[in-house]
Amino acid sequence: MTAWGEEKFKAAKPVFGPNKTTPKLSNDPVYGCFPPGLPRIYLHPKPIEIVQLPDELIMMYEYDRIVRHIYIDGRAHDEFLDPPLWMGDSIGKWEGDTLVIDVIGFNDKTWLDRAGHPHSDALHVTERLRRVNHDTLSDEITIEDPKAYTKPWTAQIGFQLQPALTLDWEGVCEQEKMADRQ
Amino acid sequence: MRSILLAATLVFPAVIFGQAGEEPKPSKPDKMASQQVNPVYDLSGPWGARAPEGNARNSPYGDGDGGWWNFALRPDEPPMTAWAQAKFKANKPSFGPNREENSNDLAYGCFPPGVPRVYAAIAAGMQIIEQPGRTLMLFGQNVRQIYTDGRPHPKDLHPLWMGHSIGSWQGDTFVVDTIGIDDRTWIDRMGHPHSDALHIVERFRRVAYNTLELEITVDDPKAYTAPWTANKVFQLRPRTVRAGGPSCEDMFINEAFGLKPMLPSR
Repeated sequence: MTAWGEEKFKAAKPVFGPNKTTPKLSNDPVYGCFPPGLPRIYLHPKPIEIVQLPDELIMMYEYDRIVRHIYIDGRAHDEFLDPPLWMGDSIGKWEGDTLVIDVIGFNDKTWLDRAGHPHSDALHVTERLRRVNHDTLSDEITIEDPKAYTKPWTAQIGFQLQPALTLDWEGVCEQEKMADRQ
Repeated sequence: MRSILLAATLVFPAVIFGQAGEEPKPSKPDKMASQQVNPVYDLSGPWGARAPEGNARNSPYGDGDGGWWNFALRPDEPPMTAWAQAKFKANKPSFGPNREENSNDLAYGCFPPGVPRVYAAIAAGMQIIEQPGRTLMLFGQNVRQIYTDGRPHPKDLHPLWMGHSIGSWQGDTFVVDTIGIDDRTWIDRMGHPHSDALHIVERFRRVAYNTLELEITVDDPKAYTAPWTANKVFQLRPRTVRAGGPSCEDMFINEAFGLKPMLPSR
């Protein structure tokens, strides 16, 4: 982390990790029911359904019913990201068997993870999504944010196909979080 | 830092893939346009609501709040029962003739709008995705799935914000039958209520390449003395239009985590 990143990290009051506190005292934006951002959304243990269309890939996260559109039709990033987005602006491109997703246009209100690691609005996330075999999806995530981190770093997340699962996208954060905080 | 995210790989969130070859069978819209084929069996794509024209804009509700089509499903009062009248009076919408400053509209607590309320706005629009056995309708953050694999509604249905939907083609019309809609939702943005007996039938017809007509039948004997219908017309949107925008929380919930105390009560 940069000095700026360290400072933000210290100010964060997460519910997980070394600096953890109670949900009541936490200043985790997710407890305000704001979207968790990327890549943090993958750290919430809720399933995701992916729908692939000719021009876009849609990730429908059961976590708080977040719907993320990843355009794969060759378009560029939206020049006018106003306001900056909670989940960023996602553009995907196939490189061989790997879908490379370039994500920018984030606001700086989300955390990178549930432990309170911060990012700035210069955050640039690259996901390398690869279906390793029929049942396994691997995502190599690169975090680049010169304001918050002294150099780019990567993380790896794996996903397992769950053919028997039916999602209903009925999760309402406001309902769950109000119960948590009481 | 690296180790924190690595540790998370142990969580292994489950992922469902859409199955291979799930795109709608008919050709892509662009191709169809060039072939001048009327794609009656393909509703897929992004659709935006069209405002009514001419006399259809008139309403006893007046022309405030962007016109009746921005808060109601039809220009006149549906036939409410006494039960519904009482509920309607208790509701505090922020649109229409009964609008109030301190609304108790659950939409401001970022709860899903329900069906058919999703259609009661100028900005009503959806992305339709047809898959074998299922049609998806995306209304921004609200995902609705309509089963087309012939299954009936479940017997022990618990209420869902967007209801339980099954659909089938009847000639050139896609008919969607929905029950089990959470009775905390309103029929529209002006506070018309419904009961747990609400039964919605939607009839979608793509009358031209660019035009999708929808007839909605609202049947709820507890709330309305007779079934009533409403009509919407949708226009195909260019696929380059981006979905999304600010989140509901951005618009309605203040940043100091001041969650509005809007937990719905039963």
